Amino acid sequence: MSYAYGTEEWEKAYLEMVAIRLATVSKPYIQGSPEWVATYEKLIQESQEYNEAAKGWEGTVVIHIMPNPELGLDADVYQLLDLWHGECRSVRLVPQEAGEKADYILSGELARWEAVVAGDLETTKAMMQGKIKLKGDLATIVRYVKASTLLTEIAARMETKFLSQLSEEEREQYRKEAAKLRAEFGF
Amino acid sequence: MGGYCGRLLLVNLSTKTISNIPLRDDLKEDYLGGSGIGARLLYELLGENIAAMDPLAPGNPLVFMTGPISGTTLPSTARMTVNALSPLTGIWGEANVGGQLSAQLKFAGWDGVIFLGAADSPVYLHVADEEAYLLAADELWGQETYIVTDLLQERHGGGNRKPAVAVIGPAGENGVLYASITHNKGHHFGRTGMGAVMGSKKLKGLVLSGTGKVIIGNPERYKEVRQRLLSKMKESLTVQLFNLYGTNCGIEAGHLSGDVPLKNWQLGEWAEGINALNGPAFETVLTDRATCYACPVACKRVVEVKDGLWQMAVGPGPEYETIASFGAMCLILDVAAIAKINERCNQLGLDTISCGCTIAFAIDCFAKGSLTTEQTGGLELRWGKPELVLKLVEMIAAQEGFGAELALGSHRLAEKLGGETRKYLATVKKLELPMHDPRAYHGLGLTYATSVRGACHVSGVSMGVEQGTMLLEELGLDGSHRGPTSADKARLVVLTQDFGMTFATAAIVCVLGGMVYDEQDFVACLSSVIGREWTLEEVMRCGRRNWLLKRAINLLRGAGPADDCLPEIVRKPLTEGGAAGSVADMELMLEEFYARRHFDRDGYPAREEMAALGLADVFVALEEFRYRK
Repeated sequence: MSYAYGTEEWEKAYLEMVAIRLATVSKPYIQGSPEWVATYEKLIQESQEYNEAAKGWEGTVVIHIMPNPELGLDADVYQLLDLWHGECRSVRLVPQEAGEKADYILSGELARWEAVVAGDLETTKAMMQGKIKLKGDLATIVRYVKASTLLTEIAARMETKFLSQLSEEEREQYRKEAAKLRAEFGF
Repeated sequence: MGGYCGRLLLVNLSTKTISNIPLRDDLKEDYLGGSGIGARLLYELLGENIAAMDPLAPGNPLVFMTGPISGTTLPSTARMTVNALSPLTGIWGEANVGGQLSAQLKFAGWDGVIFLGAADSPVYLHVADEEAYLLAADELWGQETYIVTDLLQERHGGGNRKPAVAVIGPAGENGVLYASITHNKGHHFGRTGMGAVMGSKKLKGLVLSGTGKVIIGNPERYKEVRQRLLSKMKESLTVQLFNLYGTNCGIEAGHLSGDVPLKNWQLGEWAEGINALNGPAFETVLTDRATCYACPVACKRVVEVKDGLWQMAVGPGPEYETIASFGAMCLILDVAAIAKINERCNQLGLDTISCGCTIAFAIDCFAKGSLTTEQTGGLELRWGKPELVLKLVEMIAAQEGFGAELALGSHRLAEKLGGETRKYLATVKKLELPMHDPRAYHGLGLTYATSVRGACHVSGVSMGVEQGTMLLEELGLDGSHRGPTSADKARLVVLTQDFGMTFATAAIVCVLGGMVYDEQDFVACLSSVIGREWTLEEVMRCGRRNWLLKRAINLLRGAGPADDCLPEIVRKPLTEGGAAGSVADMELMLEEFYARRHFDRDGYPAREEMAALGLADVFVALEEFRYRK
């Protein structure tokens, strides 16, 4: 069955799918998987420091991971962070059309995002170096350097399995699951 | 050969004679331009007097130089250097400016101007293409830089054309040791007191205008590399940020990483202050953006304070270094006050880094009881008092009361005060540290300690590379270095010093817009403008030669390994903030640095290297100096 993004059915089915995966998939979670994204959401919501630093922030942010079929990532991944005045309302994997409508889009290759989550690459530095591209109002995002640094730090604190670390067998399994989710949820 | 005009103006102020001398081929080939050629000229002109020359004596030459790519439309290349022995540090003095000055000098057909001797009454130099005159400046002496700039631009301009003007203010005339030279009000030869050297020569300023153009050796290639760089700049987030908030764009990120010095280098966190001083905060006084000749970055600010205590007319706004020197260092969190202090420093002709840091040092000494109201003439020196700081700025320029003590710079002031005060001092080779904390970037610490003009964050480009905003991947510097670690930093510093000496002080590229350049962009710029193929190896050799020559001048002036160190105040870890607990391992880095530089234990360069770089004569002079010592 497939769901239309933006409907109540999609949201309900998404949350059920995440709950099942959180209960069944073993840790550490693969970067960018629904269970990884859900864990990330929880950690942001629990961070008092982020809440303080992002007071006044309005707007959705997308982390866009470019495809890398060799490593098992056959399509673009869009993680949509719905952030509002210090609150993290939700983090979801979303279809491309929805992802591209976000107020701020941070785009980069898989290797770059893996380095960010591994704590080897600072997002600000990566943006300055052109390794991660920013789309959105620069003047606003610059006012929240601390908040964006915290978002990176929270991701780096998570125990994560990277696509580049998967065995061929695990990678194939990941491909199949991703294709199924794509067919069902559009991402 | 493209890029060069092939001649220099030689101005003897004592005899009031001006002559035209050819720019020797060996200078162009070996030292390229800017302060590379400036160093060689200074070394030759000083000759045997180099060790004993008083920087404020007529015998100290003052050399203004452009580079081969100055005056072209390659982005971020409108730079120019000035060199002399520094009255502040006693060693090699060097300052660098953007704006219109280098382009106008090149358009007039000159690569540089050398001033010798001293005039018996105030003069200024007027250059209009072939014509060059020394004109009386008696009525300009004592006047502030903005007034004199307006007057000279009106006097020598015509129609819509405004000549480029560089002048000193009362601070330079009165011998403040960190007096600057102000160009078109908003650009400054700030560091090492070159304004005081001009003052000692009774040289009020230079007025330059030209109608020619720079000859491009390989126009096709030039067009290609220019387009490539412009596209990179358009894409660059760094450039967009510089345009958006000026050089102050990174103050918040800097604060998070522990890069911004606070309260005379002794505080690790000041979120409230940084919020009050960040890019958006300055938008309350921003009226426009400005830029240097042919530069698409436009990082300069134009500000106005319409009401209140700090009212100021539309004019140049403060840059990051000034905001940090007076704001973060003196704990002033009033944007309008800082804009006003900046305006007064510009008008009086003061280096805002040395000025702000000397005042912060004095406040710190006062707070710790090492300086009393008896010594300050009754002034209570306190943190966070903009009205006090503004008063001190005026007193410094006028050499009035306690201002005369502050006019010496923090190093000499500490020597006079004695006691514990040296502990609160933040200088390298008597030059105040610029506004980046070496506890956050250890390579920067080594750069400061070994910089040839005293603590300097620009000539070596190590900061951009260590912060990851400039990538030199062909040299093996891929932006992966972490700031608060000392391992592998000596390699980074040697490479960036050699590259930076050619790039940022000889060619000359601005280190801000220059962050988008990689090695081959730069090589292509040189090759296309000069019209002969350059290689990266040549760039590095040129930089090494220039760096070693400046180092040799310093050794001859008595600055040796004991001076290659960081002050105690930044060798103490902070307890909070982004760089908490971090201290550069100077012993480790210096040992590796000396080995990579082939220095002996006295900090002298090796004969073989000096000979291979064409500096055999300098090596002989060093050996004779050592023998005499």
